[in-house]
Formats: sequence, structure tokens, C-alpha cells
Amino acid sequence: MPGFTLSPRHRTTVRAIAGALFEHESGPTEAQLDAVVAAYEAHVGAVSMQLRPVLLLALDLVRWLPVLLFVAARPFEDLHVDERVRLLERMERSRFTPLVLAFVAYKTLLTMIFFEMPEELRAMGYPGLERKRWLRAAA
Amino acid sequence: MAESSGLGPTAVEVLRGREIRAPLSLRADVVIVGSGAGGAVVAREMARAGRSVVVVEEGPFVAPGEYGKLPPMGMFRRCAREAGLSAVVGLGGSPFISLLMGRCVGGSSVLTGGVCFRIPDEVLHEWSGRLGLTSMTPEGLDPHFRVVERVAHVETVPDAMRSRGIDLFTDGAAKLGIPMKPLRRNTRGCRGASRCNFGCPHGAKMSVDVSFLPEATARGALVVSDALVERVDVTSGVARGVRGRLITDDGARVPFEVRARVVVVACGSLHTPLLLRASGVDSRHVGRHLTLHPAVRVSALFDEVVEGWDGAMQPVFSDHFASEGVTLVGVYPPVSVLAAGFPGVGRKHRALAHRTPNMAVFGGMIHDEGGGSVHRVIGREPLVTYRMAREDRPRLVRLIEILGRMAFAAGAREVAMPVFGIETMKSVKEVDDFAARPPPMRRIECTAFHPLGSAKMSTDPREGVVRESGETWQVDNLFVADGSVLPTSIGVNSQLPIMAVAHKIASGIAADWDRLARRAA
Repeated sequence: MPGFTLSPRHRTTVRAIAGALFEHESGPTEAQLDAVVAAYEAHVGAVSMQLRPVLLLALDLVRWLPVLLFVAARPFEDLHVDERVRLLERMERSRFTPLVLAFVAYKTLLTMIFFEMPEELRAMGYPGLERKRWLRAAA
Repeated sequence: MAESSGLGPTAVEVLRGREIRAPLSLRADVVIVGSGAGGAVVAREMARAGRSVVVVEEGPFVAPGEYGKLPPMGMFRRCAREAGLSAVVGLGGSPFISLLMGRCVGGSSVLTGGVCFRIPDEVLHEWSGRLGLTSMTPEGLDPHFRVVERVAHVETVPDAMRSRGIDLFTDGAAKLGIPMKPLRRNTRGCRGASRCNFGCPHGAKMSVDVSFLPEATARGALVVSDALVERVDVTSGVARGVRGRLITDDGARVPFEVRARVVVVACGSLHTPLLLRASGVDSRHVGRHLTLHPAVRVSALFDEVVEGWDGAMQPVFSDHFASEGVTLVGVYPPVSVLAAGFPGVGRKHRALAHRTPNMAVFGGMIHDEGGGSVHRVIGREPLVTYRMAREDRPRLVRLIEILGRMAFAAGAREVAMPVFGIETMKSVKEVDDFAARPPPMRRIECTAFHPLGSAKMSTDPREGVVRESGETWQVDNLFVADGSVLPTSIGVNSQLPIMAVAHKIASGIAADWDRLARRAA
């Protein structure tokens, strides 16, 4: 299947979501955000032509959420990171199912991508595929 | 013919459809659509019976040696349908359920946890009794289970391969009087990487691409990957082959066809109905009666370091609540998957993610009554809907309640429940409140791995899609051999049951070959 490329608008929105989802005192870094966007693009490129527009529509929903919820008259990516975090938290708790599903879809996908990065796995204390138990069992 | 021990050929040879640029035309005795737990077993059995076999698989071929080189999301992109993002739309307040299915040579067997159960006797008694499927008894299926258990190398997970997280799972259960039993899995030399659902990095899980298909190809079967079958050719009520297109990197349409005397459809419970309908099988039961075994997990945070990843992914289970339709399973997913289920955003989420080494995971599933349907829409992927049965809703709440209680009984400080938008629970009192006032089903985070029953077996064409032999009621020489033929939910992991039923169907085709071949002439 021919390669899929995200539009600049969608790229910016994904980056803004990731920047809020993984916000902490020293990160995420620009390189990490670049990597998340690239992996997201590859992932969306691997889904069917039916699912892809649904995912992109959900992205547009997040993009215009500040306007739809009367939070601000500008798109998601133009908000300060603290405002984006608050908005995503609001989505997570929403009683409006499509909003929750859009949040969960993006949180799940981006979190799995982000926490696969070697530096994040190390920071979590995960040793990679090295295991001790089976060696003890074999011994 | 004597059965092999499963220690025969270890590499499957594949003709990669995406590398073919000219129309492809093949001829065989048997063409099998799908290379998963059903199709691979049929391929091996037919090849052993001396038949020429072509297996066509929509997905790509990823050599088992590559699994360990790909991170979980990379495996999803290469080997899972919809890159792991398939989902079932809940109707009538039912939960939205994510659904994991393989789309590669080896099918979903590449992405299972490897858990192997036989079909419970009580389920088979219902099939052979109330449903009249007289050969579907424990005794009738026993020889088929024996074969597939041997070839897939089904073994009991040793106690030594239980992670500390599983010890806590069993401790919590024991404190509540819930007995645990060891699980059986299709593994050889498991190193406890706890990422079976993303392809075994050590080649220890005996998915069909390393167990059944190598012997099939060694005996002459041809496996063609990247080949999407669009319809079964039917003439005068008899299946004559299949046709479709090769999936190429540049989107070019390269057609293919396989002429055959017998066609076996084994695309799984979501895609078999689509292919049957596209081929003129229009029974009202096609695509209906889908069951899922909705599953949930809770993440339990402990003071001690658990390192739940160090051990077999699924070593124990409990059928203590089988009468309530609930099965408990000790489990551990990759840490990135685990982190995706933690509540919160930003620093709050990160704080939990960084406590992953102190997490254990408590899982389970319900034995559902069905309510799923597969619908054809524009494009090649179906729309799957699920209206959770009234009796299944309290089962799901009960399952989560039990898991939460077990976690606190094991000494957990906090428990992340599978409910969207709620904080972690910090006491069993909160579990009590959850059970007393459960959230709407739509807020429960569910996953399913075992879609079954969408082309069910029956003794009457008015009641199902295929006969007990697996042959469709409407088209001669067209068989179905995957999870879609199972007539009800089975309440246990479906890989081994699918293999055994496929083996039974394949044995029947082999035994009846002369008649089938005459009919196709």
C-alpha cells in the first residue's frame, strides 16, 4: 500500500497531545515528540482505509475541543501545556462517550509508543528482555 | 499415518504475494483461506493425507526470528489486524471492546498468550445434547485434541516460571478461599519474557507458523502471503476455488486465483462471514451469534518490587467462579501496554508508570452469552457490533469486583480499575462501593481475544451455517474450519479448541476425499 503521510495540521495536533500526555519536569524532549509523531504516522499508515478517517476525525475533535467546550477560541495545539493537560483530564472523565473513546484511543496508542522508547523503559526500571527467573529454573 | 512429535521441520516456506507483479494462477486439491489456528491445522492434515494444498493468507509473512527484533507496536503494525486497533462497537449501553486479531502467516496464534484449554465437558454436553451435534463430545474430540496438543507442544507452566506478580495474584486468591490451577500453554523452552501477545522473542511459543505450517510446507503445501481472497468461485452449487488480489506495496492490483476441488475457509470469526456472504452463502446466521469472552485486568500497586515481567505471561487460572460465568487468569502484559491503562495525564500518569516495577496484574474474562454481529460495510474490514446480554453485565462487574478484592487481599496499596476516568482505588471499601453502584457498562475498559460463533455449526440448515462436518449447508465442497463454527461461547481460551475442531474437520475431508473429488469433477 502506498505510504501514508500525516498532514502538517494533524502532525501538530498529535505532537500537542503527546506533549501534554507525557508532560513532566524535564520532558518530553523534542526528539521524543518527533519520534512519537513518526511512530503514530507509521501506525495510522498501517490501518485500513475505513479506520484511518475515524482516527483522523478523532484528532480533529481534539483539535477543536477548546472551542467546542468553550475553553478557548483557539485550537488545542495553541494552548499552554497546562491547559492541554487539564483538557485531556476533562476528556478522560467526560460522561460523553465519544469524547472518552477519542481520549482513550489516543492515550492508548501514544502511551504504548512513548513507553517503548529505550530511555523511557530504562527510566521505568524495565530491563528489556533480560530475565532471571528462567535461568534459575533451568539451573 | 503416524503422528510426528512436532519436532519435524521448523521453518515455513512462503511465497510472498507482495513480490509478485504478474497475475497468479494456481491449482490444488485443497485451497485454504487463512493460515491461523484453523487453516494451518487443516493444511498439515491435508498435506499428510497426500493432497496438494495451497494456503492463502491476507497478511504478510514475518519470520518468527524477527519477532524479538520488533517492539510490541512494531509487531502490531506488521502482524495485527488494523495494527492492533480493531474494536467492537457496543450497542445498548454495552462496553466498547478492543479486539486483538492476527493478520499474518500464523494468524492470531502469533499474538495469543499461548493458553491451551480443551473445550469444557459441560459445553460439549450441551452441543451434543441440546444442539444434537452428536460427534462433538469429549470422547469424540479427544483424539483430535491429542494430536494438536502433541504438535503444538502443550505443556503445563512450571511453578518456577511464575513471576512474583503471579505469586501475589495467587496469594490474594488464597486469602479469599479461591483456588488456583496451573495453566497449560503451547510452548517449548519458555524464557518468561511476558510478551507472548506480541510474538515470542525467543521462538518458544509454538504458534502455528512454527508448529503446523512447517510440516505442511515440508510435505508440499504452498503458503502464499499478502493474498486477499475476495470470493469463492461456486458453479452448480459446488465450490471450485477462490480468487482475489495480491496486496502489493504500491497498491497495484495484481489478481490471483486458485482452482481447487475443496475450499476451506478459515479467516476467523470476523472475516469468514464476509467471505461467505461475498460467495453467495446467504444464511441469516452468517455473521450472527458472535461471542467474545470480554476480558478485563486490574493493575495492583505494591510496596515491594514485583518485576512482574520476569516469568511466564499466563501461568495460572481459576475456574472457581465458573458457575457465575467468570474465569480468573494471572497475566502480565508488556510494560508499555500496562502503562496505557493507568489513569491520569502528564505527571500524575508518569508517577504511576514509574512504579511499574511494583505492579502486579490481575486478569479475567467472562463466559458470555453472545450478542455480537459482523456487518459488511464499505471496504474490507467489517463493522462488528455487540449488544452485551443482560446476564453478562453483572458478570463483568462481578469479575472486576473479585479482581479488586484479590488485589487488596494480596496487600496492594492502590488498584487501577478498568473503568475510564476514575482514580486508583485505595481500599477495599471503594471496591464495595464499585460493586454496590457499578458504573455504566460503557465506562468499562474491555478487551477481547476470542471471537467465535459467526458461522455456527448446526444439525439443521435453518439453525446454522455449516454441518457437523464443517461443510456449508448451502455450497458443496465449501468448508469452514475456524472459530466461527463453534456453536456457543466456550468460556475458555479458544486457540486449542479451534485447532482440535479444525483437525476433526480436516480428518473428515481426508476420509471422504473420493466422494468430494467426484463431486468436484
